[in-house]
Amino acid sequence: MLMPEEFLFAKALWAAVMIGALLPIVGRHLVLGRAVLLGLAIPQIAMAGIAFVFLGTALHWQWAESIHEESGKALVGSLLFGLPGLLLIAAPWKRRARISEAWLAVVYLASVSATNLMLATDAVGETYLGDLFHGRLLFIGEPELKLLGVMLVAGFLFLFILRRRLLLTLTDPDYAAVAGLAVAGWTVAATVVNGMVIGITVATAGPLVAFGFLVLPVLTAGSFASSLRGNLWLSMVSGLVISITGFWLSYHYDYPLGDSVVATGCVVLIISRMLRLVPGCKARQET
Amino acid sequence: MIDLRNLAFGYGKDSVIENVNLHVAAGDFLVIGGPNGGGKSTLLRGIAGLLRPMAGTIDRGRTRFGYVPQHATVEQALPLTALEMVELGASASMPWWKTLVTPRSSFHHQALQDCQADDLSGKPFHTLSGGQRQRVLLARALASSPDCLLLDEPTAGVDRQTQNSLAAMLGDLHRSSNRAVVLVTHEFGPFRGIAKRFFWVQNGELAELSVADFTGRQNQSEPAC
Repeated sequence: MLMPEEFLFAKALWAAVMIGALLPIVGRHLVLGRAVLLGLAIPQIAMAGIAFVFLGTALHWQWAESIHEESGKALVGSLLFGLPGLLLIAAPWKRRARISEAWLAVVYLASVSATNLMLATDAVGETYLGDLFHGRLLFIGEPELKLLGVMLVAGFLFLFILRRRLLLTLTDPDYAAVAGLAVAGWTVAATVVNGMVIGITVATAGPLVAFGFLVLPVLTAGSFASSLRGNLWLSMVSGLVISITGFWLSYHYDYPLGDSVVATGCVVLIISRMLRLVPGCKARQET
Repeated sequence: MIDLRNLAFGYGKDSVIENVNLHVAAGDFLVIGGPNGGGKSTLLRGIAGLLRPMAGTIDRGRTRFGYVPQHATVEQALPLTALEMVELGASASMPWWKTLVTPRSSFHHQALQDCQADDLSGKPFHTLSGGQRQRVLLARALASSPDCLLLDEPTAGVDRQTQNSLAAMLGDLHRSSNRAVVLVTHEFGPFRGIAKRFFWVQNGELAELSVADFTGRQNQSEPAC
């Protein structure tokens, strides 16, 4: 660790830094693939999964009770619903079609209502998910931090190394198919990786932080970058700045961490857009 | 190169075009015309492999295709430059492990230059005009070194001068290589002296016509203003 051992929230800071720096590459896929609503729906599906596992515990289902740690329940629940949900949403890609925004909104609404209904009779789950929504990074343990790190690094490497192929199948599936690429295969691979990364992030940091880092750094970088390459590196830097600044504000003023980080991200985005109005700061000429 | 025998293409259970018999040889330049909804784009998508045949057989051999869609929309929030668009397209024809390294930018610049679009390389794709976009999309298709170019309404939505310029450029590209071109268009005029064979698609049927007959049908199908 590069910070004093006695710093109480070292693990939370590491988690925020890793999410800030590495999650934007997943967000880049969602934004470029015109699938930002997917980034909103997936975390909520994962939240429904977490609520489902807490409901199972409350109803004394054996498999749910056998998971003792609350963080373990969150991880299992997040992946239990998040991954199949994502694969179902991605299924139309086999026909080179995609689920409409209206249906994504339906998925989001259904997930929110299901989450709330499942928590209605379970105070423990309701408290846990309430904390998770505000960004539960402060309570992150060593095993969760390691899992989050492994998942974020693995996801980043996959999406970075194969970026050209994945971006092509995402932005122009017809062209990719005519050129001989297995579009459905590459799409499912990207969907699984994105789903795993988002699922783990939701389980450890909550849906607000996950969705915030999927969108805000990418859009902030878009204010200045004039190429995809530049956008990737700038979005990682923006994510880092947002996470560290948000963390500092939360620590200094005792604000909820998740809300603090996301609010910082929004402010940074607004400032970046305003800076574009300053002559010389605008990277690209719009028509 | 490409052989279609008694083919039918369509969507769901409904066929849009039937009994298609067509042979495309290396160096061919085909123009396919016809009224809206006649099945032109369906035929092109079928040749490209984007639709499965409902009947008949298609032999594409080992032909490599370059496809230029009618429209390409790119999310405005992300800046994809013209050069990056070409790079992404060229990566499709490589094994995935070869896409890990930085691509040969000189090759991609050449593709842009061939399409008179090298001055656009650093510009965000979404800021380009309709004609400029078509040039970049054509460069993208060329960058994968195709044996056959499939173009869906490449001159749609651009002014007459740009149509003529795009057609002349396609003619030059065609003459300088042995590459086949199959082109679907509503705007036959710019391709009159460039194309070698003329096809008309109407009511789900494909017919090869002389240039005079093709022109006559084109004139008949254009709505009176």
